[in-house]
Amino acid sequence: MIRAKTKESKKWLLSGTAAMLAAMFIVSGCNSKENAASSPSGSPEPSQPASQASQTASPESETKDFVKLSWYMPKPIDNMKDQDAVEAEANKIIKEKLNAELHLNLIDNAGWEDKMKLISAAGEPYDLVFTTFASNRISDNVQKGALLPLDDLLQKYGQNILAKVDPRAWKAVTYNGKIMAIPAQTPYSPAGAHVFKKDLVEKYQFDYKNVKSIQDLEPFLAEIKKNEPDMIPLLATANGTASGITLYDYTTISPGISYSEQDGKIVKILDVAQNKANYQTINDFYKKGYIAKDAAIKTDYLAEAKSGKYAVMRDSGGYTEDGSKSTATYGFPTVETLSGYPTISTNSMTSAASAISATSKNPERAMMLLNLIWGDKYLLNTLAYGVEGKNYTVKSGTAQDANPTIEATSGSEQTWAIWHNWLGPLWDQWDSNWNSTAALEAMKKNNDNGKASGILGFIFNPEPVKNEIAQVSAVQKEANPILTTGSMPDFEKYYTDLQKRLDDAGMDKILAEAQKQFDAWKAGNS
Amino acid sequence: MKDYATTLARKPLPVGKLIIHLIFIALCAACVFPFLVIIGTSFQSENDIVRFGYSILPKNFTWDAYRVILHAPKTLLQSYFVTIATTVVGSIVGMWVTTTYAYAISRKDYRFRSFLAFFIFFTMLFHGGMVPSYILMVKWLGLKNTALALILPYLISGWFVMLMKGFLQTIPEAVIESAKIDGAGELRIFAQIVLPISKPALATLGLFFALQYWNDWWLTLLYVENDNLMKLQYLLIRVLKNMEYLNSAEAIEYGLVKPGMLVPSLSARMAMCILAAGPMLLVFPLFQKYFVQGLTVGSVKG
Repeated sequence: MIRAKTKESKKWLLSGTAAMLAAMFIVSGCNSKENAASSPSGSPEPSQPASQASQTASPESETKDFVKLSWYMPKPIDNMKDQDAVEAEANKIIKEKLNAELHLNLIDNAGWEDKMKLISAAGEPYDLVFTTFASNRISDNVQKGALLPLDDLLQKYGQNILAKVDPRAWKAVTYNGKIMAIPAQTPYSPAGAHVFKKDLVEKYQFDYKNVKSIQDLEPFLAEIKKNEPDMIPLLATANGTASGITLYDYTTISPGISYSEQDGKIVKILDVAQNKANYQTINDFYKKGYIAKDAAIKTDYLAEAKSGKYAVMRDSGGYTEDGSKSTATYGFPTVETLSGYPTISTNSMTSAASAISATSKNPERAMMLLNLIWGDKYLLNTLAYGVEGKNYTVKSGTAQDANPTIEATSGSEQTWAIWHNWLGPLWDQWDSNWNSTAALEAMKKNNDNGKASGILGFIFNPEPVKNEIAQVSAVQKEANPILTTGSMPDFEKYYTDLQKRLDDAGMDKILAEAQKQFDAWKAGNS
Repeated sequence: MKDYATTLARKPLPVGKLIIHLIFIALCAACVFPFLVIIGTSFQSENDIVRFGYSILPKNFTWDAYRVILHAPKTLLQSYFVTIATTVVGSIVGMWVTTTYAYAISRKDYRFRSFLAFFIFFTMLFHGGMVPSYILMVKWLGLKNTALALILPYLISGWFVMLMKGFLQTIPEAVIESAKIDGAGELRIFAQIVLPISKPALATLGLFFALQYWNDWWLTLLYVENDNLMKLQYLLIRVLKNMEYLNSAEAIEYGLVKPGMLVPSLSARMAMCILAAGPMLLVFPLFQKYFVQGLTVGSVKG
């Protein structure tokens, strides 16, 4: 393999390498400069001035040219098949009202995050996008300058939106004084609930309505353990455990750092006594055999719940007094009892939002489209439920009425679905097997009565402590399955150990940074 | 030559050899066991998995998982087709490009040899990164949602070229020179002398290419949004990610899981895995004998 090289070629190789390297550094140097210039952190420059000089322009002249709009969102269900039919039906209305055509780019969950990052990085032109606090993160997008500020557009074309969005929610999407996305109507404070297998509750005469905390579950779990050898008393997996273990009056700021709603302090969540007590209880349950031995390596909460092997589970996203929600989701008769309401946080208000891309060629038309969706019930429900006869059937009334009752296809027959809150106005949803009008009313009431967090609108910028957060997240990722399932031999030792490991990972630095940003935010907002 | 089997029968195995054998047997078991579990699990019913855990021998044998997946075979067949097509085309073209390049830089009498060798070597040390390559593929070449996007990026890699060059350099120059004296042109030398000699190396390279294209899902993730161009491995990833997503805290908390939603069952995931990996398992033994020979490139062969 190794051959004696002539001196000549060695020299060439050396100088060649040096030249290449030099060239590379120069190029990469330019690159980083360019990046720095093109994306000032946190204050994106709109690619085009949003407000035109012509204030008196009538809608007719503004929709003179036919345009195509694209909307990126994750695939709500895996087997979306009727996209062409649904788009054709929706585009009838969009073409007539706005002289535009909508195409949905539905990306499956496997590729969604990566694809959106690349599309933003490459500056590909598109118009609308789904963004939340967790998925295609809104704060990352704002930092990259990928979104267009919407204030002027909203004033000009977004009257329906302004009328319908919860006024408190604008705070959650305002960055540096600019509105960057449109927060959807969605359950801002989804109730947590304990779910019980109905037949067991009846069999053992358990007074489930009086369960106030996870500690109250003990007698029932013990009963099951003793008398039902085939059942596992409590369902816990690596990513979920009994409802109510999360502390409802603490609002998460960054992994492991929370704001206490009671005394307004920012704390490390592991330092909160109630938190420790709760996990101690879970560990106690584990030791008594109420939790499956291999719970920490189970990751599929839903599949476990559906198996009907467990006596006590957590809610399937919300609470219904008669247990109908969990009965439908888990597939066997259940009863529920409320465990509490979280405070409304910036995150919960941005659990679904729509934004307009900075690369959009027709931002005005994109805003008009959103406004139309927030105003036209038939268009909204067509996009969400699909086409009549194909994806849903009308039970009472007609699809042209304001409030028909419909039955959407489900299970393996379902070939179309977009959740209404991904499009925006959830309260305009037609009564159906997804949500009854009563359920929507209840959600809405819940939102209106919900207690907003004291730090609503405070958005933590993780940039200065990015490395520490990455390290903390790595520790948590490994520890969470053990913590949530209580499967550690010595709780006290594990817990203090974990605290120490998190501190070593830089928890205090994150805490200090959060406190600093919080104080600055408070000074500007009081 | 003595018959090896009879010597084996007469002499007891030395202890050292025995230990080595045991180590390899254990290693083998460690490789095979997980696969057997996957196969076993794919024949279990959902409830049995939750009740008894994964097992190699299912208590109640059922084809359900395969029924669920093959219930709508169109997507699966389509992705099989895409995977096979990209694997075949990619491997053949990739081998051609790699071998010609490697041959050129293996010839000592080629003028730009050191420059070209360095040129390809450099790509092994540095690469532009994901975003620039994405911009190149999507904006400049306009290859989004095309089959070409699933083939082009892997056609040539520094590592493969170096491997091939290493082998081709072991061909004595005298062979090539004598062919020249006999009046053969460069193309003929390459096609009729060099290629036949390097069969084992070509087989190895072919296997590497085939594996790379078969197992690739990354390119699908980056460049494909169209369901008809999904590769098999990507379908597998999709099934797993969907389940992850539906079980994520957000999905539960914000009630994204709707009643009647299809969640792929545990056994269906396993069945999917078998269907995705199966063909490669069958191909591998056929390549095995070349593989051993081809990988000893550069060392002395008796």
